[in-house]
Amino acid sequence: MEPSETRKDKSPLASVSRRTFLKLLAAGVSGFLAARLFDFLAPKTIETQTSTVTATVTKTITATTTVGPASKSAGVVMVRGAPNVGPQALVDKALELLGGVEKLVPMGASILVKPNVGFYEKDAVTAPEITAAVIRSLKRAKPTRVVVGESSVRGYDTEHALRVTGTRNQAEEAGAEVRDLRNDPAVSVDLPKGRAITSADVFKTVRDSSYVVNVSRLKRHSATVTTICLKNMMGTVPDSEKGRFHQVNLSQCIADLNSVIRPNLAIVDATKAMTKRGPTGGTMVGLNLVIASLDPVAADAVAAEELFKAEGVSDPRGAVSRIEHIQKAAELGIGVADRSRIEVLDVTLS
Amino acid sequence: MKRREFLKLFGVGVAVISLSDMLPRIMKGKDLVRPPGALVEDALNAVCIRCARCAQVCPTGAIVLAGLSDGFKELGTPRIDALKGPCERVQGRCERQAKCAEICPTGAILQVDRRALKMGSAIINADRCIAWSGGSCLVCYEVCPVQGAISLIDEARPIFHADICVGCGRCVYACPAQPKALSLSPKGERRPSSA
Repeated sequence: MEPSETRKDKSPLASVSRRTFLKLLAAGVSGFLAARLFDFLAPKTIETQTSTVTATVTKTITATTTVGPASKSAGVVMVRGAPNVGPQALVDKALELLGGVEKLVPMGASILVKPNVGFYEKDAVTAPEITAAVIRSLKRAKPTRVVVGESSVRGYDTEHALRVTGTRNQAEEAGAEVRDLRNDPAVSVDLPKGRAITSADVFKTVRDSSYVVNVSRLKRHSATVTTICLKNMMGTVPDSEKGRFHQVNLSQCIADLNSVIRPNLAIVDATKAMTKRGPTGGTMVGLNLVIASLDPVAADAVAAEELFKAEGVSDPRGAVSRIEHIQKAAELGIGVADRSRIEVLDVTLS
Repeated sequence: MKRREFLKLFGVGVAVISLSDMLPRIMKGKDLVRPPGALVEDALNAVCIRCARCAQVCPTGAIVLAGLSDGFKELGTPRIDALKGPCERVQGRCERQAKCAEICPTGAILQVDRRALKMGSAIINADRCIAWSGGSCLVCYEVCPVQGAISLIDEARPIFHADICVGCGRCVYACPAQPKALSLSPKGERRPSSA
């Protein structure tokens, strides 16, 4: 007992041997480097991005799509097509209006394309033609790889969903590698801004991607009113996390997750929208519309408004302001939900 | 009495008591949910040769073999455990053909019309349900492949309709409540009596 007591009296440093000191130093340095590296890797760190949104016909608008607490405005493009306009033309025009893939996607990026392939029902998933069109467009930016990754809703086999909806075939034909993320190891990420959860397990492919492209389908949702881009990120976490989110507070967890695993580019497939009920079994309405933004919150807000309009809701904007997960995402500074601060470029291709 | 003898006697006593408690249950058997197209109970137990092939081919792992606690007559026969996975006969990989019926060598499981399928029904325990407790959930409603089997009150709380539900167990598997708010029962099942 006695020696340890005497040791206590000494200054803490005096008791540190050379070896222990070196160990501590190394731990400190590696911890610091790891923290820096994580910051560097995060595709999600919220930063200011400026893009030039060009209306082909009339004018050029400079939309500052700033995100973060200081954000002022966001830019969203909506490309509508006459019935004869195909998915590739819609996607190409949307990305061109956002500034072009070559400017949007950093050189040598490792891209994750995250479609919504949660179910076996074709109407309930991102049209494989849209997913394939996005892949073809992204390929022009000469990325090191394009992975299409998804984990379906619990109880739905992702591989079967990818096959039966045609996503696997079409995405592979377009030149992407297709992964059932359930085969991925899960890694824990911290959610420093999280209000309901402070960390979450995500699939490794998601964390390791430097550029995340969210390609969602515009749908109603029984628990979260809509499921567009923000909700689509639920497919980047393992089943256990999906379950936990529902137990804790679904809307807040969706916002918390997006605060770190934030899509760099949000594309909404509204070629057909699921109205009235969802995420399955709703009434399909053909809109032949693609919505895109660098701000996933703004993309969701604008897309949700279109969905309500298609349903004939009397105050679509008011309805959007009551969608919890979109509002909570804006509160966390992930993007802009306030429609008056979102600049929309609405073009029609014929 | 020696310590060793006492312990022996004590062990035997415990075994006898627990067996006598279990015995009636073992003899009577539990109400099991059976694979799609399984023969009526007595016929199934007689015709099934306990080869386990149905369990091996089930794409979701929903088919497991009945254990002793499921009943002596039932031991080794196939049952649906929705906690392992949903039955995809109604929607999914067995839509065209039930793989369990396809491989069954004795006709204990038959290929029946998918639209006439009725394996049982899901039962809700509202006390455990996230949505009924005021949370935001409705996973059951999202994943249900049978329109009308689950309806909503105030667009927020699920009601289960046992007459429409076919008992595929998809909602039970997906229910995120802990412990689960949903369970599967053979209630209302329709099964073929023979080939």
